[in-house]
Amino acid sequence: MSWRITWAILRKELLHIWRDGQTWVLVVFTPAILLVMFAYLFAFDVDRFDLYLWDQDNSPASRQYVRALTSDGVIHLQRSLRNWDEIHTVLVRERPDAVMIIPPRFGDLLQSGQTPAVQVLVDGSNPTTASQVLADISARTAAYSQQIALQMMDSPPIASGLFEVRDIAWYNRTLKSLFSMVPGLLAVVLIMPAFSAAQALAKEKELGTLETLLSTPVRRAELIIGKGLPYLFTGLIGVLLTAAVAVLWFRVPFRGNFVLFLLLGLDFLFASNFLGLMLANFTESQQAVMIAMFIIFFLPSFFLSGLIHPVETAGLGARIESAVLPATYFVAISRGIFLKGVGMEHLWKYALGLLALGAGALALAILSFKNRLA
Amino acid sequence: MFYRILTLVHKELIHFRRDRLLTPFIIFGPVFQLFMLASATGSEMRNLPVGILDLDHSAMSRAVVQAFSNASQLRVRADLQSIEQAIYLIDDNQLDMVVVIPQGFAGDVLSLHRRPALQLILDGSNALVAKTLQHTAQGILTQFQRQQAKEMGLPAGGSAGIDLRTTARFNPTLNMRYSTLPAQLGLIVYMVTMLVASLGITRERERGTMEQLAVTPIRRTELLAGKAVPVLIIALTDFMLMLLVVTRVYQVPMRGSLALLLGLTALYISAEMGMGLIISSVARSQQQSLLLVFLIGVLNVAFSGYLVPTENLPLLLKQVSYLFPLQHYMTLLRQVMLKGAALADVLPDAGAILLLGTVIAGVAYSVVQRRLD
Repeated sequence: MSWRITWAILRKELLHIWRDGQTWVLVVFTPAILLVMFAYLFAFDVDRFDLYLWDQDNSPASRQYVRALTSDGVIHLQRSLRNWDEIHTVLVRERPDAVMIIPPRFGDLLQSGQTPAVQVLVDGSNPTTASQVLADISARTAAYSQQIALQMMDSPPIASGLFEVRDIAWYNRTLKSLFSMVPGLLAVVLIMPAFSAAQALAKEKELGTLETLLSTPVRRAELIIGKGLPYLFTGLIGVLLTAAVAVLWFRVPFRGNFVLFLLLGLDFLFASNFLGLMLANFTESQQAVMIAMFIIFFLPSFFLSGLIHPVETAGLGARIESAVLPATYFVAISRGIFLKGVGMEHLWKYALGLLALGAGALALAILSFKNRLA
Repeated sequence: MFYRILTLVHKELIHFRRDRLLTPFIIFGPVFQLFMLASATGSEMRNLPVGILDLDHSAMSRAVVQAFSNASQLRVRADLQSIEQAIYLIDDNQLDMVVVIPQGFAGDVLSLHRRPALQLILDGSNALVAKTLQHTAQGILTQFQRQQAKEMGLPAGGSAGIDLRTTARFNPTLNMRYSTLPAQLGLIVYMVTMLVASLGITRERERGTMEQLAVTPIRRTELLAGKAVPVLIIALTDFMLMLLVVTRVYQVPMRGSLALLLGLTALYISAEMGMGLIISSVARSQQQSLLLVFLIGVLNVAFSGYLVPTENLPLLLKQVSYLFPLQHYMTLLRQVMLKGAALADVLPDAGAILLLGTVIAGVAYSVVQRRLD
């Protein structure tokens, strides 16, 4: 293999990218644009709930309870309801986060030391929000109950709990999901350069210019490597841009080493680009390779890479697919460097995984290329 | 006129049948996605790795370890020796949570005068997992305290105050699939409609067969109709197929009227199709129209409430989201399937689709007209 020839192919490909505005945009800018889109799409944080209320008691006590729930503005009292029909209509037509029914004699029961039952209905057609609303209302009600109990008894109750449970979330104190989604999503959106690399190879095939290249003394390995490397370097600009968007737009803390992040970003581009080129080897048209990339790499990167659900939760088939997805490794790397600020001592296995994936894909691409043309 | 449209429809369907790539993609692609999504979101999180640092080594601390070990969602590792080791394991992604039982814990609990604190350390780098673990751990420990108090002969704690009874309507177990699979259904209808519609005219132009069509007596309106009807047939067939998988294989309830759902879906496809035809006549090559479909698709999905309801969007973006037919369609799907909504309940969203569809169709008509001349 000659580096001079590889360099020639590389320069030709760089010129292609530079002169074809569409590819340039696809490789460099789309990752950042997609990141902004997806970050909003996957922002699981709910910072305002709409509460609909049917207060059958309408006493000072019930109003005080509702005020305690809604005082800090997270739970927003939307509207009062008067009967079951209205509740049913609201649940079907509008999107209340919760409907609360306070029973008659709520205040009297509370005063006499009994426990009135308050009914809460949430909209299960949206389970993510529903469970957050339930947890929030339960926590506030428990705190309010305790406050009432303390007011009514002379001495504080011994058994309000034998011990305290304190929790602390490291690296993301408020458990804001945006902070964990944005670094993870980098691994999904940075697949775009691989789309372009795969498409470029398929295009040469489709247009017949690959034949011309093959009639020159260029070898397969030189061709594949020369085709892949330009997308690595231009893709790196995409890495820089997306990281800038994460830090400047979304204000995600960056606690690790930036040089290490770029190096491992290169490692990720190495794996994803050569996987893309390998796929392009097996397909005939640009359209086919786009669709294959989309279904094999892009979509599973959302669900099987540990971005949302941990990989351990999935079934065996899904775990195997997740092992060959470059995104799986980069989600861990990106979160590790952004949020945890860890270095190679914790990330070496992911880095090695990407290296192995890339090398395997490269080897397979070169070998299969040879076979197809023999 | 109808005869000419019919011939065109027939021609289009033959194209579709003979295309080796499109057919498998449109049938198997969506099924593959559906299964994948179901496998990723169906079950609750299990096997979450949790470590316990027991500095107390008492009967009670061992009981705490036991309580955690009994929880089916967790994979407990109780052999941690030091806080440094706990930090290392969290940094190394080997543990998602560490429970620290302080020294003297049992003694403090039994003395009844001091309230010792159990510390939960969560790995916040995946907030969703951390929140799940937070709730699970708190549930386990509340249960544990109640049991301990009973064994120690103390009155049951925390009973005073308000008894909160909660019900999740339409989905009592808060099954994630009830929301992800109908959303996926909407996404599939969208993708199939756009892909088939957007390639229709581009392909004719790229291959030069548009010239041939131009010399036949077919009029522009007829050409548009002839291109549109096959899209409707294909997308509706796909929808019914996927609906069958979603309701039969994954047991997502279908509480509303099927006829209403099909009618609304046909309305939605007709509205969205115009967008595909616009792309089709603007794009110069198939590659360009694929790229456009992809980018517009991402935009649509982001604003549709596909995974997270649009209520969470910032206000400005929320208002923008009303301009996307997919957002209204996804709302309809959930309303009819899960809530059993009738036509009267869904009028605002159905009206919005009709309105947007009319505007899109008007633009499509004039764009195609200009392009063909």
